Amino acid sequence: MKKISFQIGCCGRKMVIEAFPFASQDGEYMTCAETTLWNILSYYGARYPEYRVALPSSGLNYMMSSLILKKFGFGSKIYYRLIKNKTKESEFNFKRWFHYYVESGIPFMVGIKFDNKKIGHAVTCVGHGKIQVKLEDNKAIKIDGIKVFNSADFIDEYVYMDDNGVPFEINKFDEFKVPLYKKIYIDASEAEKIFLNILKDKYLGIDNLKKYGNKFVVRIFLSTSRNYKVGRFSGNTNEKMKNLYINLKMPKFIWVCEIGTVDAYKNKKMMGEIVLDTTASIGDFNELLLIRYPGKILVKLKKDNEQNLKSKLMKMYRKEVEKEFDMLETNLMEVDNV
Amino acid sequence: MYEYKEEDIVKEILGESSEIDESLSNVSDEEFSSSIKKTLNNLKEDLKKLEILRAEAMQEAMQDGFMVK
Repeated sequence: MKKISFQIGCCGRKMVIEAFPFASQDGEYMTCAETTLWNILSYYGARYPEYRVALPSSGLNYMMSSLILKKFGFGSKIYYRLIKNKTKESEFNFKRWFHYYVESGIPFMVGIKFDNKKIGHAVTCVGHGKIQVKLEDNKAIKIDGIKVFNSADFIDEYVYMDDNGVPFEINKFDEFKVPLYKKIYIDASEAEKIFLNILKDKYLGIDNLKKYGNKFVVRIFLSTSRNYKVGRFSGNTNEKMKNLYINLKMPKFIWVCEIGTVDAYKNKKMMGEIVLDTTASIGDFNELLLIRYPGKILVKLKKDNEQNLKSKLMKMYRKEVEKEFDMLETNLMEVDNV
Repeated sequence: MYEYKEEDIVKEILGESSEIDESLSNVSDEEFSSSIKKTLNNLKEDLKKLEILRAEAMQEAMQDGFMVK
């Protein structure tokens, strides 16, 4: 669950509470669209001083709410569920992209369509429900006899701040708008494609994990480099690896893909990771920052070309790189009774 | 775009590689290069398909988009 500290005064005492902003609609000045935006902007306003809160009026469509987020300095990204041209793949994609942002700990605006109507309801997604590891073959990606499952498919319930209901309610989703930091140029759908193509690569990919099994789980999320370093530094690893991680030069936001066997994933451990620079242009692996597998690590420099990459790959063996490492869990916090 | 300053941070902190991947030394530069190019081309194709999917979704959103109240 995503929360933030608020200072409040109670009976003459200053107190700090951990919560997510919540407001009810009055149906006149504030509908769900405004309260959802208020929730999001209050959260970001409390966390980052450069975002301030404002109140627009009446109901909004997806374009209007996206423009408001842009006015507040976000690079707003809209995702709309295909209905007419819906395919099995488009449904899988839509659900996964949604999940990557939830896993990233980014509160965002979600539209829920009322059946057969031109009207819907807006809520803020702040987390997800219980993880149920289901190995569904039709959802797995097959790479050279290896099945790769997506952790996004293990979660069916998402948690919302709904101004028509109670806080932390569980519901569905039909469209969503993500307020992204304006310098994030690679979105969830593009990051996923980059990760999957790297995993399929003969030299950079999942072949490096082949000897550990044939069923793996990938977990994709966006992270601030600060959270990432905190997670890797506080994880159960050796001092040299900690030193390496904290000294990596990274942009403010990175995309991370963690890979592990199903058993490792169940134990909140991972065995490999690919890290991307969200501020890079896609192509020629410009966006690639780091690849790690058991006993191997590669930190890619912008200037590395194919020849350089080959010689780096040959020398990526390091005994300090453990077989498993702790799954990064600094984006969301676990709470009881959801 | 972010630029690294370090020449080789892995070498600097973890030291020299503990072993060399001999299997890669048998791979010619051309072979390696064509494999990387293949991956990059596949990615390009996937991104093109993604663009089409996005355009379709936006078209549907323009026609059937809903107001949230």
